[in-house]
Amino acid sequence: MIIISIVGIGIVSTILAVLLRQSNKSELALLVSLTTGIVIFSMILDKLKYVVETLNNLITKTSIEFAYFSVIVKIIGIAYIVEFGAQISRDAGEEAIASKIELGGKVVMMVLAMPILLALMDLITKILP
Amino acid sequence: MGFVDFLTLWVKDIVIVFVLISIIEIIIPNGNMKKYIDMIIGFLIIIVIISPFIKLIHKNFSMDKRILQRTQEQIEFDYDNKLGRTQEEQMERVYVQKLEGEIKELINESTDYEVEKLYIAIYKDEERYGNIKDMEINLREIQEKEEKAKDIIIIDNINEVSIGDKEQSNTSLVKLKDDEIKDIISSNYDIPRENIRIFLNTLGEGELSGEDYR
Repeated sequence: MIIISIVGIGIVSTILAVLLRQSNKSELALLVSLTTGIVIFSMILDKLKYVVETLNNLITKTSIEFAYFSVIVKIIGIAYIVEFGAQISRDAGEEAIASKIELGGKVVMMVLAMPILLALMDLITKILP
Repeated sequence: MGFVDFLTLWVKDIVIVFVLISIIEIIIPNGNMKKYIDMIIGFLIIIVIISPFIKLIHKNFSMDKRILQRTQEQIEFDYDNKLGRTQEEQMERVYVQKLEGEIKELINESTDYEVEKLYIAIYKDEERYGNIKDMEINLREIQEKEEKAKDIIIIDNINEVSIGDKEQSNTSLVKLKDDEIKDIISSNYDIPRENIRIFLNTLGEGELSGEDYR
């Protein structure tokens, strides 16, 4: 039944935000959308945890090293957070700030991916005679 | 490991990775970030496909260890946020290790002592950066252990200054050797002689009288 509450919260807050925008209170509309985002995200958090744990179990069954998987999970988390922040800024009409948030996310993701990249380079140089 | 086992493992890995990736594709947000995640997933696929072959060539090659090492380094600089300082410390450590190795080799080659412990401090201020500030050397004579092995208390770090009067001749001998080593080091590394402290670890001095002491 969680989906009904999520959609309900979404629709109610959308109506609220539209009404606030029409009465020239767009800063309050922004706050409404921010709060809605946080509430919906916290509702799905324990479900998301279950998904990640399942994937964890799956990966331990293979001979694939765990390090890659944790990097990928971290990157997905970063992507979510960055998208959230960037959408909020974009809704408020601040395109420049949104793109800066995305830039930050990209750099952090690249930093996290560097160990995999370097390991891959090692692998390739080792495998060549 | 037979060929069939190898193939089974490999195919199983690939299948599970693709199942995993299709799940991940569902949960990733579909905005601007998607292409970056796709790139990293691509790396993962390449690693999964070619890593069994590296294990055929190099038996004990562990990718996990390498990645862990690098992640560790990253965590260090992520969370302390002292990238410059960490790097400097690493450089210093490597430098001091190199110096230690050189000096040990020098002493081993030019005298009949071997170095047991060696501490080097270097200057950290701007103009003399990297010069040796002072140095402490614990030496040990190269000798056959069987000679004095039985019933002997081993005393560490005997400083030649503290040896009593009755061992005068012996002390001068040690001092002479010291001077030789100090000369060698100070001429090679350009440090003042008084900053070099040398201790000799003499084996079996506790139980033997001064005359027996070599």
